[in-house]
This record gives sequence, C-alpha cells and structure tokens, in this order.
Amino acid sequence: MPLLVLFLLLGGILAAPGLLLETSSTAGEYTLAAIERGDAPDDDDDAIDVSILALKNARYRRGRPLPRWIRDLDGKRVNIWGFMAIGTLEGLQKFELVPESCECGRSKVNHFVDVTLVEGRTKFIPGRITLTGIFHASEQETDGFITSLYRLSTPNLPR
Amino acid sequence: MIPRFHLHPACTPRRTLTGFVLLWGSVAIGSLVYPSFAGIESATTTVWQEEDAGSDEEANVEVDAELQKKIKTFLGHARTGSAVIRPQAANRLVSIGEPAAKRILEFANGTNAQLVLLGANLIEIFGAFENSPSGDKLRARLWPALEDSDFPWRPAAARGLRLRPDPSEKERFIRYLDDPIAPVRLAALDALYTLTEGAEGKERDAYLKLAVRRLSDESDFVRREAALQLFARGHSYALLWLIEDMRRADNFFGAPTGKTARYEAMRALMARDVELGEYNPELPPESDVNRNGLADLESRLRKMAAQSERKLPSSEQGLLEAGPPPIAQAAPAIQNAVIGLQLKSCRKGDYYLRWTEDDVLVVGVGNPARIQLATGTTAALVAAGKKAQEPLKDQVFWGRAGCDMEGYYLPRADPAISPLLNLIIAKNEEPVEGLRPAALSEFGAALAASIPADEELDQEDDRTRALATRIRAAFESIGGPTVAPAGKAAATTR
Repeated sequence: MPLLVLFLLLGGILAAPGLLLETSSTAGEYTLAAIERGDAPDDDDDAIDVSILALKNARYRRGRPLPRWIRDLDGKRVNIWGFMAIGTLEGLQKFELVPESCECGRSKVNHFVDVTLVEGRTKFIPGRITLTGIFHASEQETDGFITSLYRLSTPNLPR
Repeated sequence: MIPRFHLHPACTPRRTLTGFVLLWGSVAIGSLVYPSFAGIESATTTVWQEEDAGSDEEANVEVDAELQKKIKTFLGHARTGSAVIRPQAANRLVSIGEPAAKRILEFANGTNAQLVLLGANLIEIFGAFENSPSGDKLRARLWPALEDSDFPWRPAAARGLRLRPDPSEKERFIRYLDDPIAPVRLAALDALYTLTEGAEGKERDAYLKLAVRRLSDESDFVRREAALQLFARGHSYALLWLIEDMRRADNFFGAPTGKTARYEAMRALMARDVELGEYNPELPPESDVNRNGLADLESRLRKMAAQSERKLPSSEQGLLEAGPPPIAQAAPAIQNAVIGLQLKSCRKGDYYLRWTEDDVLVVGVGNPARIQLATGTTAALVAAGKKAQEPLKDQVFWGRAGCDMEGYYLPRADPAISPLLNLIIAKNEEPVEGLRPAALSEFGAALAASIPADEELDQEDDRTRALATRIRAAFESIGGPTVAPAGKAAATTR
C-alpha cells in the first residue's frame, strides 16, 4: 500500500508541471505570431521567400514540434539568404548557411541551414548570398546529438 | 539572464487548476503518508532494497565504467566536436554532475594556457555544476581565467561565473561591466541582477545606477539586456529601448544589423506578452504598417509605464522617462561607405569601421560614431585597397574558422565582376604565423593609420576612446601586427 501511494505521489508531481506549462503541439506559436506574418506557403511553383532571421528566432525546444509555419514549409521550394559559414572548405557537397557573416565558431542548431549542393561543389563565397531550393525542417540526430534542424537542397551555388 | 518562464496561453484556467490540484494534492497525500521529503528518500531506498537486494560491488563497478566511458565520449565531443555538437555534449556532462565535474577537474588544474585547450564550451560549464564539490572547484578556476586578458575564452568564463554568483564577488562583477568585450559585460550585468534580487534601498539604487549606465552601452545586446532587467525591476519605460531597436534599418555591407536587432527586440517583447499589433520585422521600419504599429506600441507602453511608475519609490520615478540616448536611437543607414573593416577578436573584442566617400570614419553599427577625416583620406585608402588586390589574385579567404576574424570590404579593382570585394582572414585562438598576406598587412596598416590620434578623439565615448590603439591591438591579436613597408608613408591622416 505505501508503495502504491508513493507511485501515485510521484506520478502526480511529474504530471502537474506538464499540465501547467505548455504541452500542446501549438506551443510557441502564440509568441511567434508576428514572425508568422510573412508569406504563407502555397502550392504555386514560385519559391517562397523565407527569412533566415525568422528561422533563427523561431522558438525551438528539443523534442518539441517546430512552429506550424516552419512545418508548413517542409518540402516546399524556398528562397533564403545568408552567409556561407566561415571556413567552408572547397570541393564539398555540404555547407552551413548562417545569418551573420561570422558565427565564429558558435553554432546553435536553429541558427543555421544545412545546405546540400545536389550538382555543384562548395567554393567559399564571402558576403551575403541567396539560395533557392527544397527546404526541410525537422530534428536530425546523430549519436544522440541534434546536428541540424533546417536543411536545403539546391543544385548549385549562385555565380 | 532574466528567467523567461511564463504560463502559456494554451494553459486554460481549467488545465491550470487541474495542474495545481494534482501537484498540491500529491504533495498533501505525500505529507500525510510520509512526514517529510527525507521520508520519500528513505522510502525510495527501501523500494530499491526490497526489489534489488542482489546489488553488489561488481554491478557498481560496471555502472561506474559505463559512466566513465560516457564522460570520456562527451568530453571529446565538447572539446573537439563540431560547433553544433560541442554545447550539447557539454550540457550532457553537466547533467551527469559530480562524476563529470571530477573528471574535468583533472584537466583544469594547470595553467591558463592549458585550460585554453579545453575550449569555450567546456569552460562555460565550469560554473554550471550544482551541489558538486568538484564543480565548486571548477567554478573557482574561472576567476583567474577571466582575469587573464590573454585568455581567449573570457566570455565563456564570465558566462560560467554568472550562473551562480556569490555576494562576495559583487565588486569583481562591477569591474567587468567596463570590459572591452561585450559578452563579458553582459555576463557581469546578469550576475549583478541575480545578486541584487529582492534588494532594497542603497543596494537597489546602486544596481539601478549600473544598469542605467549600460543602457548607453556601445553594444546593442548589452543595452537590450539592461533594459529588460530594468523592466523586470519595475521600470517599464526601459522597454522604449527595445522599441527603438525595432525602428532600426542599419546595415554593414549587406549584413542586416538593424533587422537582426528588430528580431531580437521583438522576440524579447513577445516573451513578455507585449502585444505587438501588426508589426513585422521583415518589413522596413518606415513601412506604413510598422511606422503606425510602432507609434501605437510606444503610446501604449508609455501609458503603461506612467501607471507602473507610481508603484516605484519616489526617488526612482522619472528615471527613464526621457527614453533612449542618441547611441541607442535608430539612425538613417550609412549609404556612402566604400571601405569597411570588421574585426572580431576573441581577446580584444569586435569592431565595425567604415570609411565614406566624403571622408567620414564611421565607428560601430546602429547609430554609429562619426569622425571627420582629412579630405582625400578615403580616396587614398581606396587606391591602397585596389593595389592590395593585385597580388591576391582570386583568393578571398585565408585560415580556418575560429573565434578570430578580419573582414575587409573594398571596391574591386575590376568593377565589371562586382563592385564590392570581401576578403576574410580567420583563425582559432592559436597564433598562426604568416596568416595575413603581406598586401593585406600593408592595407590594414593604412586603415589603422587613417584613424586620428587618441587626443583628437572623444575619450568619453567608448567607441572612439583610444580607437587607433585598440584597432592595432585587435589586428595584432588576429593576423599579427600590420606593418607598413619601411620608407612608405601610410594613408593620410588629417
């Protein structure tokens, strides 16, 4: 009997904060309402302009759903500006697109877009660039660490 | 950092009530059955003893080996993993607690030079271990690191220290409010906020004075943090500083510094449930929707602030009513800059300099300082910049990613390709011999030489005080000293 009471007690303590704090799949969307006022995704062929700053400032918590406006972009064709992460090596298929010219060794998982060049290879371009490609948003995990949240597949770097 | 937890609107009164009933009900039942939480602990122990009477030393050794293996893996990732993995691995070590702290301590007892090898992410968690004797020793190790101006991870050390500041450290934190590195000032301000929680009278006044001074900090993120802290202490007029950031439209050669500030300010206000109306950070501040939205927001905030002021002690009323000083005000974007220099030094801080067509040296972003130079200074620098490009051929980047960077923006010798050339030198915390090409070293020397001597500049303004000296020191800490060739005059100064 005491054991049962103990488990009920622990269950109650564990469950209560979950009810008190945000738990729904729409969590975070209220406070991001202003960011969501950008162009809504549609089924047209035109690429949707997506701000890397809006992605960076979206509320993200590990294991929680991303805001709906980001999930709605998944699989869509988008235009996105940013800077090639400093130190991007030449001849690779992947690089990080970041919102500041120098993230300088710091990288939060929601602060960059992992870009894959489907046809071309990397060549470091300093300064701001705009890419068009297919966007994906979800947690990508390796060995228990989140390695990317936002991904973009694009044929090549801009000339 | 101010705690930003708040109940989400998804929490309906019913859910909230259910949550509270469950929580307090559980505690009440618990207190009836078990007189104290110590009782819970002993009950848990009893359960373990009942169900796992066979636990023995062998199992403990196995668990310990497994744990040590995990610690080793996380240590490796936190030190040398990719930039995105390092902080995650460091946090895993914190969640392990004392055993991880004990292991890290083995690497932390050497000199500061040895400590550098652990990397910024590990240094930062030195202050994060709670209820851990080894964690306390790690934290104590952060002060000598912070006090060493050559230690490259001073921001990380300061952030580690601000997590659990001790009242005896107050004066030290106050000293770091004037540090040349903005993230160090930010961490010191956070620590002082924590240390003065609930303070009244002289102690509160002293904190307010320090925080108000940071409202004029040259760094916009330090200003925003000071404003949010003052807001949390009842000074609602402080939010005018964030509204001003939402009016910014400044750029630094394509980097949208103003838009970044707009997003940061907007996010901070939303986190405090401030209704932003139709404001959209993607649109220019002068767009109708934003201009009207911000005017409405400012009017609402001023009304709210006027009401909340009445609750403040009379000595504090009206403290921030006048709003942001010029350094924190939005200003028209600089349109005619032709040369730029961005220095990011892990030891000496960050600098943003621009030279305009009409010979003005622009220092900083947002509402920058402006220094009038002698006529022809910029033209001479443009010529020096074009000459510097010749031996560089098509190379635009030297080094590898790290905490140090020199970014040069200059007109291309061949504008047919594109009008602006951006050259970057980067490295990590270790010195790299011969990193900067000689041509850029000469150009860097010319840029530094164009900055007026200290006595000609406003020494009261943190942006311009000893500017030439500080720029040369930053150059030296990144790509080495910039030395103009012997017998060659540097660019014109007035």
